Amino acid sequence: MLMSITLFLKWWYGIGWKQEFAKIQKRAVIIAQEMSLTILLKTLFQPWKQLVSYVPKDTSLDDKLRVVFDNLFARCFGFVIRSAVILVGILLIVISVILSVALVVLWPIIPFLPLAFVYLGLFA
Amino acid sequence: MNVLIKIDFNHPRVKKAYLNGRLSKSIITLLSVLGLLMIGLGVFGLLMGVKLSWLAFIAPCYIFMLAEWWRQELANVLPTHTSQKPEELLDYKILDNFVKSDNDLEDLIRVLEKQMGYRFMLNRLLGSSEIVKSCQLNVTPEDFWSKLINLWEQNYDEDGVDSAHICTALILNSSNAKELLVSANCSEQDILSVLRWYLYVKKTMRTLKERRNSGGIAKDWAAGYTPILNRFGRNLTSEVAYGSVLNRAQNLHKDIIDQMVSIYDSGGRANCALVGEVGVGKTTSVQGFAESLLFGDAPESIKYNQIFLVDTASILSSASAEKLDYIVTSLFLEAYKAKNIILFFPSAEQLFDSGKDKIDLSDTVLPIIQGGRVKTIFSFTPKSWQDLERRKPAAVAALNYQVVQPTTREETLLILENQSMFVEQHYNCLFTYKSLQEVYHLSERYGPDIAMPAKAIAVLESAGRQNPKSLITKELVQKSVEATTGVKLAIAGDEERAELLNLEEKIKQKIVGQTEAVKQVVTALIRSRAGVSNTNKPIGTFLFLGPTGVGKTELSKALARAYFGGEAKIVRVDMNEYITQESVHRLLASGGQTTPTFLDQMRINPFSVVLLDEIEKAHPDIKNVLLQMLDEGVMRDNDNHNISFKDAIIIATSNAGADYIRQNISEAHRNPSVAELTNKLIEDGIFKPEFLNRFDSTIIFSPLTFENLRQIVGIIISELNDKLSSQQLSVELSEGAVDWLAKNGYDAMLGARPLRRLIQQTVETAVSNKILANEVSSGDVIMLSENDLALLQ
Repeated sequence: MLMSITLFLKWWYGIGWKQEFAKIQKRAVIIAQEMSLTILLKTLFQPWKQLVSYVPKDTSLDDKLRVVFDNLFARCFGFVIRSAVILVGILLIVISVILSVALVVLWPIIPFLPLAFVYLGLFA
Repeated sequence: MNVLIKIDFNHPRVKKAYLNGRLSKSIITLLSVLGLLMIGLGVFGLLMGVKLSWLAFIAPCYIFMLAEWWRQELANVLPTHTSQKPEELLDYKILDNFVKSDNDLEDLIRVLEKQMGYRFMLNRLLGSSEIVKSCQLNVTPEDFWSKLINLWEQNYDEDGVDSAHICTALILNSSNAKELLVSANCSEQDILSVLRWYLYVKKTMRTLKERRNSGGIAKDWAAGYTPILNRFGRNLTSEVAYGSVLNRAQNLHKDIIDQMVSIYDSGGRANCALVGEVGVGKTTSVQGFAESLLFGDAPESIKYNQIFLVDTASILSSASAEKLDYIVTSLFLEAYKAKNIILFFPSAEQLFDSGKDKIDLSDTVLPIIQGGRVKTIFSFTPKSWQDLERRKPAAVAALNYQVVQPTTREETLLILENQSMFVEQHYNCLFTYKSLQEVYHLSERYGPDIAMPAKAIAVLESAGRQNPKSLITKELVQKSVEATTGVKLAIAGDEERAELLNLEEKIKQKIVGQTEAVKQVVTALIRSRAGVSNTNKPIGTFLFLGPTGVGKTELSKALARAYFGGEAKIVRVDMNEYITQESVHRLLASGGQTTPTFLDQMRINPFSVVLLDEIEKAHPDIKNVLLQMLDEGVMRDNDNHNISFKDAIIIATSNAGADYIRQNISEAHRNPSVAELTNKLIEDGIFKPEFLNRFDSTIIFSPLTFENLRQIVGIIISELNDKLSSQQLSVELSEGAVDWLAKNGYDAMLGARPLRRLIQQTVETAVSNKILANEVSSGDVIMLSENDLALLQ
C-alpha cells in the first residue's frame, strides 16, 4: 500500500504534471484540426463551394458586372462562414487552454484538497 | 526445477502492472459516475446550507486522481528501456500474472495460458499446450532471457516482450525442438511467421484505437458540389475514412502509391493508368492511395483530395448515346470545378469500346486526358490496354501508365493474414496458419480465373462461408474446395480407401476381357489418391488401341460411374469434329458460346474423365495442341487463360491398327506387343512418336472371344433385371439363348456393339409382350429360350 502511494505521488508530481503541461498544446491542436483551422485560413477568400460563374467572350457589360458581383458574393459568403468557424475554433481553444492551465496550476494541490474539504466540513 | 524467468516483485513496474490488473475501464467509469453523483450531492447540500456537504467532495478528489493515474500511466505501462531486466521489458499484462519470483516451465505456462498472444500461437499453429509442456530447456534464466530479448528485438513489439515471444522462444530453444516441431507438424519458419502475424494483428488493433487527423469539419468547404458524381460514383475516400484497414495494402503497393502521389503533385498531366490482370489489386492500390491522401503525409497540393470510383456501366446504361457525351463531359467538368476530386474508372476500357452495340466515348474523353487538368485514374487489364494501344495510340500516349504485378507467395500470405481478420469477424470462425498456406496452395490451382491475391482471397472467403463458427484447418479448406470444384483433394479416408481397393473388381464386373486396361487405369487413380503421383500432370493419360466394340469407351464410362460420380463426369470430345486446321480455334474456345465448349466443361468439372474419341482422326495441329495437356495438365484457351487438367484422367481411344491386331491374332495367335503396334502406327504416319510418348501408358484392347461375349450378355441381362426389379420381375436365359445372342450379336467390324441392340430387339421385346399380355405377375421369373429369341429377330 505504502509503495503504491509512493508510486502515485512520484507520478503525480513528476511525469503526471509534465503530461498535463503537454496536454494543453495537444488539446489545442486537436480542436484546431477538428475545426480545420489551417484549411479555413488558407481558403479564407475562396468562393463558397466553388460556386463561380464564367463570362463568355461576347457578353454585355451588364452581364459581366453581374457575374463579377455573383463571384464576389460567393467569396464574401465563404469568408463570412469561414471566419465564423475560425472564431468559434479560436474561442474553443482559448477555453480549453484556460481550463487546462487552471488544472496544471491546481495540480500540485489536488492531493491536499480532501484535507481542505474535511476542514471546511467539520471545523470552518 | 529449472528456473527460466526471475521476477522481482518490488520493482515499480511490477507493482504498477499489479495495480492495473485490479482496475479496468469499467471500474474507472463506475467510480467516475459515483464521483459525479457525490459532487452533485455536495453542491446540493451546500445550496441547502448543510456544511457537512463539503465532505462529499473528498471521494471525487481521490477518484479523479486515481482515474488520471490509471488513464495516463497504469493502463499502458510501456517498457522503460532503462535496463534489460524482465521487469522492465515484459509486457505489463504478463507481469501482473506472476505469483512466484522463480518461475520454471510449469509456472510460465500457467502465466501464459491467460494471455492472448499465447492462445493465438496455440490456436493458429500448435494446437494445444501439450507441445509447450513437452519443451526440454537446459538453460540458465540469464541465457533464456537473453535469447528471448534477441527474439523480441528481431520481432519488435512496443508493448514489450509478449506471451507469443515467450512461447516461440520456449519451443525454438528447447533441446527437443526438432521433435516438437514434427509433432506440431510445422517448421521453425512457420512459428516465426505466426509470431509475426500475431504482432501484426496486435499493431492493427492499436492503430484502430489511435486518433487520426482526417482534415476536420471544413476540409471540403473549398471544394465544389458534385451532384452528378454522387449519382454515378462512390466516394472511396469516405469508405477508407470509416474503418478500412489497409496498412498492408499500402505497404505492398507502396511503389505504385508513391508513383501516383508524384504524378498528381508534379503539375504535369494529372492522370494515371493502372495496368494489371483482374485481381492483382488495382482498386486496392487506389484505396491505399486514398488512405495516404487522407491520413498519410501527402503533399499539400493533393492532401484531402477525394477519390470517386465512377461506375461506367451505370453511366452507359443511364442515357441514350447522344446524351452520354453530355453526362460524361459534365462529370469531368464537375470534378475539375470541385478542385479536390480524383476520378477513378475501374473498367476504363468501357469508355473506349468500339464495335456493335458498344459506345465509344473516346472522342469526349481523349481531349480531357490530353489536357491533363482533370485528375483521373484509369484501370485496364493488359489485354484491354494492348487493344487501346492498337486502336487509340493517342490515348495511350497521353496516359502515365503503371503496371500492377500479381503478388508473390509471401505477399499473398501476408494479405491472407490481413483478410482473415475480416472473414473471421464476419463468419465467427478462426483460421489456422496451415489453413492459410493451404488456401494459397489450392487457390493457385482451383481458385477462380483471376490473378493473385484476389484468387486466394476468394478461396479464403469461401472457406469461411462454408465453415462458420469453427476452427478452420487445412482439412476444412480442402473440403471447402472439394465442395466447390468437385475435385477430391484430401488423402483418401478409410471408406474411400476401401472403395479404391475394390474399384478394379467393380469395373471388371462391367468390362469383360480387358484386365490389363482396367488394372492400369485403377492403379493410376490409386497413386493419385494416395498422394504419391506427380501433381503437375493429369492423374493418368492413356491411349486405348483396339478394334471397334471391344470396350474402350465402355471402360471410360464404367470408371466415371464407379469413381467419379456418374457418366455426367465424362467430358467427351469426338475428334471426328476436329479434322481441319481451323478447328484448333474451336477446340480452344471458352466462354461466351451458346453451348459449353470442351474447355468450358473442363472449367466446370476439373475432376472428370476426359474421353478423346477416335484420336487418330484429329488434325495434326490439334494433336500438337494436346501435347501440353498430356504433359503439363494445362491447356491455354484463345484468351490465354490456363485450364487445368491436373485432376482428370485422360483417355484417348483409337481403332487405328485394328486390322494389324486382327491379322496378328489370326496369324500368330497372339496380340501384337505395344511396341510392335505403335511402331506400325508411326510407320503408317498416323501418330508421331512425340505424341505417343506423352501417354503414361498405351493399352491394346484385344478382340472379344466367344466366351467374353457370353459374359457381356450376362452383364446386359443383369442390367435389365435391375430395371425390372421395380415390378418384381426377372428374366432368365437358357444356355442356348445366351449362345445364340453371343453368336448373332457380334460383328467383325463393330465388335460387341450390335449385341445390346439385339438384346433390346429380342429379350426386351419378349418381356414387354408378356407384361402387356398379362402373362406374368409380380414375383415371376421370365424364362426365355433360343427359339423365343429367334422368333423376334
